[in-house]
Amino acid sequence: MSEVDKMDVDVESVPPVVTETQPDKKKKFEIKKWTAVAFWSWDIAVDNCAICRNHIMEPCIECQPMAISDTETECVAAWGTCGHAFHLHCISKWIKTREACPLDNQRWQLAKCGK
Amino acid sequence: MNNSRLLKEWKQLIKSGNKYNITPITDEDLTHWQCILQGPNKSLYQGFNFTLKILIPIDYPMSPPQVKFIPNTMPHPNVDWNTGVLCLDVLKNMWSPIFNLQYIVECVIRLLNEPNGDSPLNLELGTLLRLGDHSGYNGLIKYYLHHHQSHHGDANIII
Repeated sequence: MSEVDKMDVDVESVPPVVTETQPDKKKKFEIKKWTAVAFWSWDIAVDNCAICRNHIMEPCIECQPMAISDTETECVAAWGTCGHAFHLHCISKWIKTREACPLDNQRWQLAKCGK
Repeated sequence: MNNSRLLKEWKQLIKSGNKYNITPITDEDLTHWQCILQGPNKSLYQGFNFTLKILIPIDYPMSPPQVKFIPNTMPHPNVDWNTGVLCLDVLKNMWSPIFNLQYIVECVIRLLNEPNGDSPLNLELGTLLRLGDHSGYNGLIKYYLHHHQSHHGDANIII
């Protein structure tokens, strides 16, 4: 997942490796295997796109089938001045019908778009 | 978008128990749906079932689905008796692509409980409602329901 690279990785979430402080003494226990577990979440308020119901950081429902083969066409998220976010593809289609945010019915004005 | 979004809705309906029995008429083609509505409790429609036909437009969810009752089955001020077409703002100017089929069915149920005298499609019932003639209004609805039942046996005959 490319997004992970951009995230702030919480270094402390890696389990501490027990150091061998007294090598001469017989070790009380020895780590044979360990599995690192990390949790992450988005630090911005994002959820599913209310129009197509796919996650806002994933391609929209129409781009989804091509997402693996086609990396050229970017499917980005779009935020309105009202603070609601949708896929740019989804909201662009909707505002042809009515220029209102589908969630709050206020006039839709694009604030920013991108990942 | 059409089919994949509907497929999502269908999966969600199955997962959540589909309490209104909203089902596609054919599995391959998710453009025709129907729903057997039970008349809401404590309403004049209690004890009767009504079939709601839902037709999905090609650009759904950018356009609302077409929703109607089977003709000559629903006596209601905001439903055209002869065609079954209903007047509901969320299916017209208040449509938003965030709505789904379950929400629409819930709106129809709400309409059954809260008829609106201002935009009647059934003029007789609309007039009685606006005049506040409760006994006339209730009587006419009961007449329609029972008259229809005696003719067809059940209000939810699938045409």
